[in-house]
Amino acid sequence: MSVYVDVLRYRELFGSLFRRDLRAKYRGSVLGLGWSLLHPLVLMLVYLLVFSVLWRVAEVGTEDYWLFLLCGLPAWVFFATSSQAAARSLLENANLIRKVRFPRQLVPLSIVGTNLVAFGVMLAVVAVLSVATRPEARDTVWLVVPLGALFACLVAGFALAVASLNALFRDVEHLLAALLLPWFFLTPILYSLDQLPGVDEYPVAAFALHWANFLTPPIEAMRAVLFTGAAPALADVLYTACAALVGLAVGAFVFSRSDDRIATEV
Amino acid sequence: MQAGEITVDGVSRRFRVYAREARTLKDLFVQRGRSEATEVWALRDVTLRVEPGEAVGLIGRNGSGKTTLLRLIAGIIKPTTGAVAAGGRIGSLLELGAGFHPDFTGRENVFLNGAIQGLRRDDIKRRFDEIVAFAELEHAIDRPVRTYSSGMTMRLGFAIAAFLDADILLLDEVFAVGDEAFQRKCFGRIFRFKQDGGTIVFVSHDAAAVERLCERSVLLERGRVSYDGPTREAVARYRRSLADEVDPAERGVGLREWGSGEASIRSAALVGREGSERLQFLSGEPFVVEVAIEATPGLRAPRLQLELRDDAGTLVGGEAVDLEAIGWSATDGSAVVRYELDPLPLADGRFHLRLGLTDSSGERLYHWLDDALAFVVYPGGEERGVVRFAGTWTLEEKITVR
Repeated sequence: MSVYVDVLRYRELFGSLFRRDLRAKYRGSVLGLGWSLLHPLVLMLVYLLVFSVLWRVAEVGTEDYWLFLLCGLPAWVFFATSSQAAARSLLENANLIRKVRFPRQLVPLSIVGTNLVAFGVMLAVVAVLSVATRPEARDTVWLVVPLGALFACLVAGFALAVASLNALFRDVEHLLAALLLPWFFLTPILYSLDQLPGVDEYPVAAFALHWANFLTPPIEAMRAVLFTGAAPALADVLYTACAALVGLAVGAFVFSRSDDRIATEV
Repeated sequence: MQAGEITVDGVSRRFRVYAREARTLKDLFVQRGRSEATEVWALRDVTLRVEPGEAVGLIGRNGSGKTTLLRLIAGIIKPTTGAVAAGGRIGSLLELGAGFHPDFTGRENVFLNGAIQGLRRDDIKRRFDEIVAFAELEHAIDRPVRTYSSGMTMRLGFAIAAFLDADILLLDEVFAVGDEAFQRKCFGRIFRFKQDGGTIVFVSHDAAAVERLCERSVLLERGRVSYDGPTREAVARYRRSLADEVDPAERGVGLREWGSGEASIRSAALVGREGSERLQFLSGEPFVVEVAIEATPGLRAPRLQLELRDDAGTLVGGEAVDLEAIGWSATDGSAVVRYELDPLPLADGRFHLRLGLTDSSGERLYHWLDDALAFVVYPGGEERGVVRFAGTWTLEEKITVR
């Protein structure tokens, strides 16, 4: 775990990289941080138009479908943008990595950090909307903070692993990009697992959608506290906590195994 | 492990070189079993020990493993076998301006780059003005780095690294860039780091640059240490190994001497403040020339002439002394003469010392050494040009304009 302890030890450097990435991301844009909100907003509008207004499939017992969508999107956007940006990060900083000794895991982790800011802002906006329109969620909304933190750990570990692998195998980022679209549809963001009409006929598929996709339990749990106003299912919470730990461990493992080769192959 | 100490113990480093530029997962699956990697040993069983305060040059042809060794010491890569250890903080100047972000201003990049090199924000804040002044970028520090010329970028990169407060400084051939005056300024700064007790490892295939800085050098040939000892000898061996590639101008430098030989100069050396021989001085330091002379018994005490010329051959200064006048009667055959200059009145540049022995009238030439020693003087502060003016500034009258 020294991979992550170094983040604390080199927190000044982490802070500098973080500021660099944050400002590089938003510099020169009038909207600034707004850009990162624009993406889920546009996604939401499109899905709303297609599934709620035109197609009308999503009316299966869900009022406030727009908010339902909005509760699932931040986590997905955070996951997808973090891992894609992190995948390229080591290569983009190649001349630094080859020439200076510093803890290299800080590069992808700081990318995750900048996306975490956008994630936090999105969650805050959603939480405010949720409190305003759904009184039943008022008592549980705060639970999104610990759940979001666990999810951030999971994303950090995943992003670190992807970044390390992409330094060694250049097509990892393309593979990831190709996987993200089907992955999105296999994650219950547009729909809720228990409201899918086919669930009863194909219990195995439903089971796999829920437990084989490590994004499902955290998203279900976050949506429970943001939208439904119910306590999240214990299984989802436990799964999320374990996924966070396993994610961090896998990230650290892949990174330490490839650290030396990263310096020579980026 | 002491700060500034480096030990390299039986180190080998292997690289896998792939036929294609970048490996992909596709290759891994499609060409499974057919390994197309060739193994290259960049270093083979290298053992080295550098004491705190030493300046060691690494010389050798391209591909001899110099840069790999430097990256191992820096901790950027790990040895395949063996162990590398370095005590204290390491500053590395492997590439100037590595990691500058083009859209950020010089100021922002100083802080970012300083942090990457391991400096705390407070340290950078404290030294910020010095860094900017050294890089001569006061007017441009708040402009984005993408508007800088390559020279300006290099200067800023050097300045940050030079003010790192490191115990060990690792230098790759970073002086190939920038104008000559700035190069000398950089050398001066590095030289001062050395004077303050810092350890230096300097990689170059420019033997003259190594001679300027390092007393000891390691010659690498195909990944192995082929010589480790005084720079002069290491450079000589290196030159021999590439005899036909040597620049003809470099080959001309050497002893050129003539004279009747009744008295002769056996050796000449420059001695620094600390009492040991060296060929680099900071402007204003104490400077001593020691000349050992031998005369055939019975000869009248000769006269010793000393001349200093700059690189272009212009006479900078000269002096002569009748050895009898300083108390030598030539009957006992040999003597060592000391010539002391304190402070050294030269500012900046490379100088050549000529020594001559004549009879007291100056007409008969016993021994003349045309290029006895060449040495370098680095500006210690803001001196420029050849001569060090040790003037003082005072304000006589102050007129306030309302």
